[in-house]
Amino acid sequence: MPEDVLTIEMFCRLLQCVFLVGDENLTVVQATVPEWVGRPVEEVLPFLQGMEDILRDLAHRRIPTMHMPHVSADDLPHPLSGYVDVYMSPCSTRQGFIIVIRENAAAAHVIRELTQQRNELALLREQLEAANRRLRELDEERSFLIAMINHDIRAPLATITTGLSYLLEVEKESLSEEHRRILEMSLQAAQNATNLANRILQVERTHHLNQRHKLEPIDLIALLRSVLNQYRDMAEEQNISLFLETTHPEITDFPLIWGNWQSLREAFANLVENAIKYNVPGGEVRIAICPSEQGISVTIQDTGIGIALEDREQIFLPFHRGRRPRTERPGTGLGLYITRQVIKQHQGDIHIESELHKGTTIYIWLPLEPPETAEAKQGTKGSEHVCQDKRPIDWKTFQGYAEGG
Amino acid sequence: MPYFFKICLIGDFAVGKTSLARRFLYNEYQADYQATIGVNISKKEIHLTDPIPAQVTLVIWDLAGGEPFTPIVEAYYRGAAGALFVADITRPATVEHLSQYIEEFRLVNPDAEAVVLLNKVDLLSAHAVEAFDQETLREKLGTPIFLTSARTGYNVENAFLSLARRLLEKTNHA
Ligand SMILES: Nc1nc2c(ncn2[C@@H]2O[C@H](COP(=O)(O)OP(=O)(O)OP(=O)(O)O)[C@@H](O)[C@H]2O)c(=O)[nH]1
Ligand SMILES: [Mg+2]
Repeated sequence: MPEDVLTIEMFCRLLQCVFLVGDENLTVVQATVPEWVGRPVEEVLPFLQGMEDILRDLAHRRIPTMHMPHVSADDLPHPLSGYVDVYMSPCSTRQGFIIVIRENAAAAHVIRELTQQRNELALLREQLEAANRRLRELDEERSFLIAMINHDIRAPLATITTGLSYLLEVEKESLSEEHRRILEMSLQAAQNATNLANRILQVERTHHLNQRHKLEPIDLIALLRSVLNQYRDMAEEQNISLFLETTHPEITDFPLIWGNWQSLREAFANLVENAIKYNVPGGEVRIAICPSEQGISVTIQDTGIGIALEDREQIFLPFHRGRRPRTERPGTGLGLYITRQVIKQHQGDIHIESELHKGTTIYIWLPLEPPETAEAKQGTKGSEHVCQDKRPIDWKTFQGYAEGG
Repeated sequence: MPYFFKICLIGDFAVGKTSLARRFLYNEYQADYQATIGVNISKKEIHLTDPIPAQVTLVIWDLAGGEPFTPIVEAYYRGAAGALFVADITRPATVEHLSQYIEEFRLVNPDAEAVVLLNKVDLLSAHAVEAFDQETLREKLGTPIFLTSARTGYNVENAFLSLARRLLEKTNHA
């Protein structure tokens, strides 16, 4: 018996294996299973059917040893089942080949588990990458839309507004009542559209707050004074009184918060504008600002028409304008949405309480620390904070805090 | 005269090789993914009338997907008369990898027949299927292309039988 066949027979006795020796005619000449001898190889190992050329190449040593691990087949030779390793090699001392088939279920089981996990993870990663790609595409589309609003909508609107204002002013005497009314309506429509475009750009800015805008220490009293000054004329026109109050004893060393001046100013301006716009003649808007250890609470209380319970949840959604008739008071439906985005980006908190025909109070809390480190540290929030012993601040003497911080 | 052809199912992981084999062999489909390791060998006997009446046994080697081309993979490929190269039509990278699989397979079996299956078409809208540029891919790979779905069974038998016919034709011409 050739030496290599002997070695393999020994090896097969030690492990769960079968082996056979085939000649160049692909007939079994020696095997662990005596009945196989004299039969064609493909008959005893049917899973190798179709590989006759390979067996012949092996028999003539035209190809070297082949190892095929983790083979499973319905028709493995008895007593093997599950996963097997198949070794095929040329006989060293005669023309023929040796095939050894060794059961390997335990290793295969471990490898199968590992492969499953690896592939599932890879699939998840692919899905994540695809979702990221889609997000980037959407972001690009959004940027394109924003650029379009900026260049192709705002610019012509400005031309229209200027033209209409000019006509209304210069042709004041010669315009018929009807023509004047048409021009005024057109001007109003153009102004509304301009407001909407501006608000959409504001929304875009709030989305990029932490990436693009610089954060700086902000004196909220100075910021609120500048907002109140902006709305002074509007409040006077509607006979509404504006008050700014604080619990802090010394407004000159008022604690500073970290934030972006421009965004926060827009956020508070939206709230003050609403408090005036939806107020009643002779009404009030009271802003109280109360620092604590971790943050600053601001409440904005009006004596206006209030917000229906059904609307309170939705009021911060984009383009929500409550049950008020659209024509009653002009607006874009984006103001409160922007405000909430800004407060959230500062790791702050905002919520609303309101009673119909009595008024609305907005509670805001902002952390003293920079937004990145303030997460999960939210202290006294919203209406839980009681602003006691408030003192009025004379906001009207405030003179021109540098806009934009 | 009976014919035996060893054919391989080759392509990235989770593209549906095992599912296509199961659909063709047993007309079954399983939705949860169970990765193949090594190779799973099954057989199916078919009767062809074209190009000649013949009884053909396809010995189907369903390989683990996404493995690098090592001597072990080379050993699995050895002796194959043909292969079905499978990609998932919803995962572009799996389509891109096809040419490399074909190239590696041809290193081992230069004369083997090849067909390409773009599987999981059931996941695409009719419009997206229409929009898929098969022609460019066919030119690039130089193989017939079948859009298939192991889930619905769409075109699966066609793809296998088409490969079997080509193998038979070739054997008879040789
Ligand atoms: N929707 C859909 N899903 C499919 C189709 N074919 C396969 N699948 C699913 O895709 C996943 C992978 O299928 P398999 O057949 O195991 O993929 P494979 O190519 O054999 O994967 P490996 O063995 O890892 O190489 C499974 O969850 C299948 O149910 C199909 O035509 N349509
Ligand atoms: Mg598989």
